[in-house]
Amino acid sequence: MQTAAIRCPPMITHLRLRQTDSHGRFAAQTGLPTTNMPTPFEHLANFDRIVHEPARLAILTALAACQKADFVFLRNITGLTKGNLSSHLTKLEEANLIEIEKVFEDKQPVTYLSLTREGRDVLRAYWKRFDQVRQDLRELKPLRAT
Amino acid sequence: MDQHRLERVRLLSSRFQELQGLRVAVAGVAIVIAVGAYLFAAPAPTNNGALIALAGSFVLMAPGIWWLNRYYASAFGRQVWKPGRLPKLFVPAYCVVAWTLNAAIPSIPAGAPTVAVVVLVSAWVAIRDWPWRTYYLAAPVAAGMAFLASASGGGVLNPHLTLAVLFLTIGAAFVPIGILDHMLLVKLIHEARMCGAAAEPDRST
Repeated sequence: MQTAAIRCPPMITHLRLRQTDSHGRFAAQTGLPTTNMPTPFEHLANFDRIVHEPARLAILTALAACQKADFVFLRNITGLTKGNLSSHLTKLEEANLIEIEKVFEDKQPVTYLSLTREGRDVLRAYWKRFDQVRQDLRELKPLRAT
Repeated sequence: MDQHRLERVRLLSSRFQELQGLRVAVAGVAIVIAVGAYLFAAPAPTNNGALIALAGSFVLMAPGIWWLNRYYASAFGRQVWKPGRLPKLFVPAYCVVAWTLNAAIPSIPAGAPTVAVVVLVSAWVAIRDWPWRTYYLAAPVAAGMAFLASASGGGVLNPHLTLAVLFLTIGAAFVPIGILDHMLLVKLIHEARMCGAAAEPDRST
C-alpha cells in the first residue's frame, strides 16, 4: 500500500508532524512512527470522487431521502441545468449508484431515478468518512511559531 | 458545496410532500365551508352532525386535491415518498386508541380523539422543523381557543357545538398554514435554483 507521504504534496505531509497524541504532544516529539497514522488530508485524498463532486453529492442526498424522484424534481432542487444534470446522472448510473427508470404517467414520459443498494451503502460510507475527517481536523493542533 | 445548500436539498427532499401546502389550504377551506354550512343551516347542531359535515367536506376537497396533485407534479416534479415504520403503524394504532376511548368513556365525543391527534401532530411538526414551520402552532392555538370558548372548557358555547366549533377553527387555521407551507416550498426551490445557477459545476469533472 502506498503511503500518503508519496501521494500528498509536501505542504500537506509536513502537517503530519503537528498531529498530537492524547497528551497533546506532537508525534515527532513522542518518537512515534508517523507513517501509519492517516491524517485528515489523507482521508480527503481517498474520498470517492464520484460521490464527492458537489452536484452529484446533492443528487445522491436528494435521492437518499425518498424512494424515487423524477428528473424535473432533481433539476428543481439542485438548480442544475438539464445538460449538466443529465451528465451527472449518467456518471452515477455508470458507477451503479443510481437506477434510471423511464415510464409513462398520464400519457407523459417521466424519468424516475432512485438509489441502488450499492448507492445507499456508498453514500453512508461517504458520510461516515466525512465525519471522521471532521473529527480528525478538530483534533489537529496548530503549529506554534518559534 | 456548502453545508447550508446540502441541508436545504435534504430538507426539500424529505419534506417535499408535506410542503405541498395548497392541498392543506384546500382541505381547510372545504372543512370551513362544510362545517360552517352545517352550523348555519342546522336548527339544533350536534357533535354527531358535525362529524357528518366533516365527512361531507372530503367530497368537497377531493377534486381540489386531485387538481393540485397534478399542478405540483408538473411545476415542481414528482417524488415518491418512502414512509417509515412509525407512520405505517400510526393509523392502525390511532384507530384502536380512538375506538377504545369512545367505547370506555361515552362522554368523549366521537371526533374528539381526531382533533387531539391533529393538534398533537401540528405541534410536533412545528417543533421538528423549528424554526422553519413554526406557523403550525396556529392549529393547537386555534383548537385551544375553541375549546376554552365551549362549555366543556368553561366557556359559553352550547356543549353540543364543541366539536363543530373545533372543526371550524382548525379548518380555518389550516388555510394560512397551507399557504405558508406552499410559500416555503417556493422560496426553497427558488433559492436552490439561484445557488445552482451561481455554482454550476463543470460537466467534465
